[in-house]
Amino acid sequence: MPTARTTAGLGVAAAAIVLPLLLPGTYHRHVLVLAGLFVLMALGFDLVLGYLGELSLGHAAFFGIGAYTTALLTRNFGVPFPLDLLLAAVCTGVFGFLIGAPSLRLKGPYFAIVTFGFSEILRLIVLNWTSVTRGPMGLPDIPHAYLGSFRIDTELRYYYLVLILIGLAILVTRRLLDSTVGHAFLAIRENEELASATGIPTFRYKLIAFVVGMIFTGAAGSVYARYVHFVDPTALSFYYTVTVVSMVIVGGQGSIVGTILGALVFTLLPEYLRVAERARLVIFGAFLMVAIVFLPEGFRGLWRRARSPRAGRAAA
Amino acid sequence: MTAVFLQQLVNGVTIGVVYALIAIGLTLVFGILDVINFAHGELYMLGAFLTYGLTVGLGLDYFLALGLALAGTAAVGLLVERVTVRPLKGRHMFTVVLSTLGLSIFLQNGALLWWGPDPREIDLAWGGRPVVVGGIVITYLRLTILGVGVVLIAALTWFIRRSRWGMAMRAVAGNRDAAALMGIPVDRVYAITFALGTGIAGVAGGLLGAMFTIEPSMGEWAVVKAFCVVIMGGMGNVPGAVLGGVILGVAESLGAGFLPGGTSYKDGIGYAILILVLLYRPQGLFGRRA
Repeated sequence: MPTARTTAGLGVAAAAIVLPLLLPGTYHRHVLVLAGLFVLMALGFDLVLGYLGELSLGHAAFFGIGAYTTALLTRNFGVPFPLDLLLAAVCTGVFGFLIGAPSLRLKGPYFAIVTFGFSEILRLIVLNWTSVTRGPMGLPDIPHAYLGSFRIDTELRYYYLVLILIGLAILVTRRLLDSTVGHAFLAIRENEELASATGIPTFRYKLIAFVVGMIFTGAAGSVYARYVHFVDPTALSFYYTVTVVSMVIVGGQGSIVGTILGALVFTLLPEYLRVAERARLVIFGAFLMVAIVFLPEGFRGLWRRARSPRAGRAAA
Repeated sequence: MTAVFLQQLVNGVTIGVVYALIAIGLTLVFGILDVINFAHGELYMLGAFLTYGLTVGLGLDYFLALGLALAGTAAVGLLVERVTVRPLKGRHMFTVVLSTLGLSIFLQNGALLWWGPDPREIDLAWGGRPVVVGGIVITYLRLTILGVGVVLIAALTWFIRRSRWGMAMRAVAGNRDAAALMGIPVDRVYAITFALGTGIAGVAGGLLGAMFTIEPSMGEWAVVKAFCVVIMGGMGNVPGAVLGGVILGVAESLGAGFLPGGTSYKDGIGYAILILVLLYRPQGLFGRRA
């Protein structure tokens, strides 16, 4: 079984590497970079939802923290490339700890709403602390990344940078899940009281998952800031949180493949719906409703049902 | 100083009553259906647009328009429950969060497409006329908001405490399975609760719409305020939501008036209260520990 999975994984990886080379023009590559960044965010989000069973509605804030950290470090102190990414990851991790520690004492709807509250407060601070963040005007002129003399300045190069980060994130997630920590995650998701009673320090493990998930998200924010050269407070807007939540739930929570699939669909859909212009978000909202009502297990469930119709029906 | 304080207090109470009206629906639906309705703010928005269309467009009396907005948004609420909530019964709470979020995006952008982004105003000839009591100015509109709010809250309280459907609602909130076994039509109770909540939110839209402006994105702001209020009052607690609404309205009004930088961070007051309450009193300010 693991060998089959490894083969499949390698196949997907190879396809991901070749894909942008087959696409004509930079626009499609640009969309791929965005999709990759969303995959990274969604993987971070799924650590909390899929493996801990908690819904965080503050995800955009961590994306924003990563983006603003890189923006401020590069603009004000000229911090070079891998270092700003690392510091953005650390900074988001610290915020993940500070916000996660009190929030994870709560569960279900309470956790969802308290993370939303934290994220909105951060957005208000970014919006109003104009001496540092320039408020709604945002921070422009974030320089491209250099690695020695190699400049990361095209869609293709950013795509591969994001792909490497996704690979790292998957590796970290897999290692976590295969370790005692991962077994503890699943025990917590299935029955937290029981897990706690068997001596698993549930709170500590939940905090680990949350912080790691937010680090992925912060890294996505950091690369995003480099990629578009600009951040403003909309990076922290609830719209991004909704998009990521949609990706993971419609994709199929608790599954890396489902998450990636969901992230692809929910990046490509709004992007290619641009032809519909102003009706774009109307269609997006309707699609979300229909998807959630008719696909109980997400795209992953659809795939499973297509492969073995009977098993699918039994599970539903 | 005291005059300014009292003036801010009165303004805060007026807004607070509207917050309470929006929050009541959210808290009722949570208490009885166990569902967070993220499209609640859009029903409030629809109520405002309905009131606008009926008064400015058709020239109807403002109070008649409010009544029709109540009926109209309640009817939309029935439809919403049927389409985004009932099919997901028995599935995880997150799925309903997402289906109502989808609906919220759909309605908000649909309104944007249909009515355009320009803010509209309901201009009531009598609305701005002031009443002066001991140096404090209250407009007729604010008095109307207070009056309608109090009447609605009283009527709702009567309905929940005394009517047969109210009794059924309380039974379902207490124990769904036992209520179903006693022959209470749980699905119909759900539908009525939902319609009741959205109807009241619609009136709130008509009330605040006459004070501020009406635009498609107004529901986003409303649902966030309502969340703060619902958490303060304790999820599912109707009297708590009423008190919470008034407290939030007053806190924001005084905060904007007296705190340094108060106006830019006015909206943050609600979030700060929300976080503090959730961390230290998750059952709400007035609830008993479950």
